[in-house]
Amino acid sequence: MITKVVGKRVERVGILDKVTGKAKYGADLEIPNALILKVYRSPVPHGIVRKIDTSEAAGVDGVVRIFTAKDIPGENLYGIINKDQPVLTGEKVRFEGDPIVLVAAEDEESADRALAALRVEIDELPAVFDPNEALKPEAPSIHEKGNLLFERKIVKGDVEKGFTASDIVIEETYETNMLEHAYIEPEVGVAYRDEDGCVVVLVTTQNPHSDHAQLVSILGVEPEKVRVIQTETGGGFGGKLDISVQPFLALAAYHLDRPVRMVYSREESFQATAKRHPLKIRMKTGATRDGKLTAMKAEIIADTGAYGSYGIAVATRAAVHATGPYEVPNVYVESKAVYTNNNWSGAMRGFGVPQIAVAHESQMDKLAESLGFDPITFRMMNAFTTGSVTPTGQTLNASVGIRETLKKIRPYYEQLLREADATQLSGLTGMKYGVGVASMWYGIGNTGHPNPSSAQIEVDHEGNVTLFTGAADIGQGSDTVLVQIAAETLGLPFDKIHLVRADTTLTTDAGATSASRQTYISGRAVYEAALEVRKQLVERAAKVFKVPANLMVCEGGFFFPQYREFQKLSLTDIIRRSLVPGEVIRGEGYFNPETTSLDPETGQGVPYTTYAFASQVSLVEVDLVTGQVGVVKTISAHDVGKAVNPANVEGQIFSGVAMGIGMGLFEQFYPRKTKSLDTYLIPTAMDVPEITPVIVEVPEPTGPFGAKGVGEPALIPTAPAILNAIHHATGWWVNRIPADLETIRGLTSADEMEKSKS
Amino acid sequence: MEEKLGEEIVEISAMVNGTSVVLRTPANRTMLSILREDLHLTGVKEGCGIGECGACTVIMDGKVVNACMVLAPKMDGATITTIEGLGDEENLHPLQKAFIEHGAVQCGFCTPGMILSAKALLDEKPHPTRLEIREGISGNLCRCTGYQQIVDAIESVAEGGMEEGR
Amino acid sequence: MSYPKFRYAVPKTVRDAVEILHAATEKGEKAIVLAGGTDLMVQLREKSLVPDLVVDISRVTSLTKIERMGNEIRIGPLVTHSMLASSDLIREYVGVLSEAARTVGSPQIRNLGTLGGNIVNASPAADTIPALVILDAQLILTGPKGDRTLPITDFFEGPYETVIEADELLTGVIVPLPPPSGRAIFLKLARRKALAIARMNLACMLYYNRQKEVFEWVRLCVGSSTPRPVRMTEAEKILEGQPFTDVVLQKAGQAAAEQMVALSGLRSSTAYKKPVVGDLVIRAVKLAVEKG
Ligand SMILES: Cc1cc2nc3c(=O)[nH]c(=O)nc-3n(C[C@H](O)[C@H](O)[C@H](O)COP(=O)(O)OP(=O)(O)OC[C@H]3O[C@@H](n4cnc5c(N)ncnc54)[C@H](O)[C@@H]3O)c2cc1C
Ligand code: FES
Ligand code: FES
Repeated sequence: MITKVVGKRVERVGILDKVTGKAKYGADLEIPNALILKVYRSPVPHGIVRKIDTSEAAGVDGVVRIFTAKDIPGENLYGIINKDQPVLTGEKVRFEGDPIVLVAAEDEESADRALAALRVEIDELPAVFDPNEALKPEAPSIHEKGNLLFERKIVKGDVEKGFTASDIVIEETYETNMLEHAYIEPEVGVAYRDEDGCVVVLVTTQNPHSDHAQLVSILGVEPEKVRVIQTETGGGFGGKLDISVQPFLALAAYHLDRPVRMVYSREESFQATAKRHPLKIRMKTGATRDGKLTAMKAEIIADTGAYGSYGIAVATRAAVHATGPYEVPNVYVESKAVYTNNNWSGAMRGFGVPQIAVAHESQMDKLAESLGFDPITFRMMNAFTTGSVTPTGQTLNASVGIRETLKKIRPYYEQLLREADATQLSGLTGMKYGVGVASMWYGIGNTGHPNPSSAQIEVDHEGNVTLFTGAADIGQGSDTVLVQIAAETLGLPFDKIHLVRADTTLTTDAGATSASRQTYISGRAVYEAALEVRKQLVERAAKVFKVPANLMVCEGGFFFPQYREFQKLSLTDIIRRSLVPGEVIRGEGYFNPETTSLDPETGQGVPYTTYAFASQVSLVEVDLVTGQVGVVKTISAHDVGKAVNPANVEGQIFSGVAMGIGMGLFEQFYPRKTKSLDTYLIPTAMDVPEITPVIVEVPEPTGPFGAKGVGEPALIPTAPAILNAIHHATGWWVNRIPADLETIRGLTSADEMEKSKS
Repeated sequence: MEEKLGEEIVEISAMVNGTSVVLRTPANRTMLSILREDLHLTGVKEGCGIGECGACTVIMDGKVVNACMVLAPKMDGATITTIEGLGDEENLHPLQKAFIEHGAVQCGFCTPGMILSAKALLDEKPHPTRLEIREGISGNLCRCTGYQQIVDAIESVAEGGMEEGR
Repeated sequence: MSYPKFRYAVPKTVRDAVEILHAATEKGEKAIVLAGGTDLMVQLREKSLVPDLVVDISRVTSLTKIERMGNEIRIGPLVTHSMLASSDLIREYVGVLSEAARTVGSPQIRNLGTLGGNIVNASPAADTIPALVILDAQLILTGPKGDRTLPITDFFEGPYETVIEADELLTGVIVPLPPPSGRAIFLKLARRKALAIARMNLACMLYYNRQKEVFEWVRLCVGSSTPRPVRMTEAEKILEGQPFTDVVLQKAGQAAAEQMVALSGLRSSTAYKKPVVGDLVIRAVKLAVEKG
């Protein structure tokens, strides 16, 4: 298909405001007379709140109001999948940082003084920080229903038979790190009550409609009484899917006659918001001598910390994706999400798939090495293709680009092998160079749940075209892509379309900006809305030209009857001739990709309509002396169906690789210890190598213009590719991330000991 | 020595984005809060308050600094440039143009600081290598872009030579 | 985050600064010196430091100079890491200090942070300190009674602890010109490649006599590994008078590792640091010798 806007590197929507410093993030909104909100948080990880004495704090100069659990008019529980998290806890604290009291004051200093003057008595309870310990019967119970939040099983074929039929079986335990999203903008928002008594919350978020629903329930009001508007949002990566400042803002605005403002410091953002689930994975994989995978068994335990958040989704996704993008006839997976008294884990770019990929991709390289295949050949021999059946029994009918991505990285792989050898010869002593490959698959959208999106397009009598979408652009670029899709479909230039986004009063639910779903699902909804508008416009134009509608052409913002381009009329001309003032042409779009819920016993079903695929190769250097690993080069090939905006796709690939380097090499959040960006290190420009993005386009028939998604896939292969490269460089298998200084140097030392013995 | 040692309230006069400003403020504040709250220059961002993220980067007397690391009274007598002083829609600085052209912006929260670091780098070293560019922006964390399009943008300006920005 | 309340003074001369500090101290007040602020601002924000008075010395212009005086270089404590990194004088005569300064924080931090602040803050991970130690630097402290000069190694008492009095200022760093035969190297090891506190850092200067094929003299200091910065004298002794062979280097590395453990005791980080100190010493000596 020849396209004019889709597939082009159009300028990002809103970028001018961002480079000039004019873009308004939550902290930049000036709300006269606003009160400052601050929260008192539990200093202990587990305990019963005995007494809250606010009397002294209430007397502090400048303090306007102090709120506790009693002040919550509706349901004091929230949670995006299972509701288990109190807004302000009045009974039990489950992690160091659980909110107990909310203070509204004239200024920050008064609020700080009030926090210091609060007297909260907590009877400490024994705490449990290890999910395996938490599952033991004698472990302290963190929630009433016990510490097992959720268990997911996937059963396909007969795994034991599969192992019996294998020539080789490899079994290993993997561990992954707890991570902080570390978006550069901490949580922030403002709120006020408008003339109609509606609580308006302007907030940094990736989930405005879900925020709205949760606030409605917390306040116990009618849906019209809450409005959530997304401010410019400084990154999310899953961390801004759960509510953070929203309920505090809404609660205070509901009770007070003043606007309120709440800004998390970086320290509070670290302490109070979700983390990436650390996973412990036991994985056993079998193959035949001629290189065919036969069986895979995995036991997965995810530490969800004090609250559920997205724990169920993470445990499910990790299970569903546990084989990697390969055909495995016999599969058995048990995946658990477990409560502990650690910081709560939630959604973070990839929902468990980046973690499980560490396991399946290490297994692939171990098998390949034992069987004498190179890593790409071995993957190629097992990779999905059209017609393959996934572990959940789904037949993949279209857009299966995994083999394409492997083919694309093959020449780079060979080139990097030569480079590694050459550098090895000239390099400093103690340095080792190696090349590693990893692949991934990623289901787009929510797992086995309906996850619709909707959109509207309106053309008014002056010819203004407005796209309404509930999709929150958090920097990844959905605004741009959705406008591109609308423009292409309407045959209009890109800059002709005005955008209204992510305001629960003006726009309808587009679902969360998560699961790499906005381009695919909201993009398709926008496409449907645009088709509808286009149809109506063509009908109007046909009337103007007095020809049948099927003979009308609509191109580049102009309408003309077939073969009569010289008579063309612009959109505005058509509108002027056919609409009366006040009349609008309106198109509704809706898309809900087909999924089925997974069988509770066997996990069989259709969790997603479509999957993204990718393969990556990295050259790393390993300093045996210091244990430091650096990534020298990375080539990453992604099957995105169709790159609606190649620059954005590449931006996601660069971004994902950078995040994967932090995840693979040095990021580690220590609950109760890690306070800020001085000890939680994320990659600087010096830690990220030059990256070559390769875009593969195997179109997805249900996607807009064939598009799928790339946001999370971009991250997934990075850490495993690094681990496999470390192995190639040193001969050591590293089965836990991060592969930090101590881990690698520990292997050097162990090796030296071994050698000195013999 | 006089009885009173030092003052709780100080007077500051500074040149900010080409305009001279005079203000009185408690001494226990940061330049970051003065710029954002008193001067409404909200293009200067706060991401950590401890010098680690670079979102608050401004140019002070020709050098990039973290505004959160500068005690407010130190602004007295200084010349300060924030992103608002670099260029606006009508008159974009070449770096701002390059960031747009290369799609070097995602969420944009790091962008103002990043552009100022790039400017200071190119002022000092007009033709840096890509590695020198990476070094030059190593005090500005970006979680979104993976830096590559940012390096591309800065490199393109370095290659083209910086036209007369302001 | 609100900062603690304090009064602020901005003296123009060393004398005024010392007088203010002295007067405040006499009154029993907590007065602190502010230079670049990159350590202090963090402590103020955390409220781990709550002063009555902040004495900003950044306008004491006499403290910002780098000068060569005869056989020594005098560096004012307000000289920033950026200035150290780019100063021709420093690069020519004491390049290892410039190399160390180049690794501090980020460009922004190097533009603010000063040499004096790095020394007086006395973090075990401070990057300039190992370089100053192998350069045999002397510090000048100025108090109400006048100046005193002491070798840098006598300045530190422990992590973040020094002998400086509350009413004293560090007013100068004297670096004797090292012998022209010396070759120096600075290595920094951190969890990421920029903007990271040293997990370990090391400065080394030595003269390897190629005619005689022996090390004539060696000076070694490893940071972030001992409670106070010291020379790795055991390793130095092993090398001096010996040829450049693997066996000698191994022994020197071993000695450095053992000295570190003797000084800092066994800690959770020892498993990592002990072997790394040894190997880093070997790497540094090799690199210094390779410099010619
Ligand atoms: C993000 C970040 C990264 C950093 N990275 C590094 C790094 O990589 N390596 C490193 O070594 N350090 C690093 N630091 C620490 C800091 O930047 C340095 O220690 C810097 O040199 C401190 O100098 P300053 O002038 O800013 O000190 P200040 O904060 O002004 O002062 C520090 C201490 O010294 C005292 N003081 C300062 N000058 C004098 C004087 N002349 N007389 C008496 N007392 C004095 C002050 O009272 C205070 O106790 C980093 C800091 C930050 C915030
Ligand atoms: S806010 Fe100043 S460096 Fe982060
Ligand atoms: S663009 Fe989001 S932090 Fe840089």
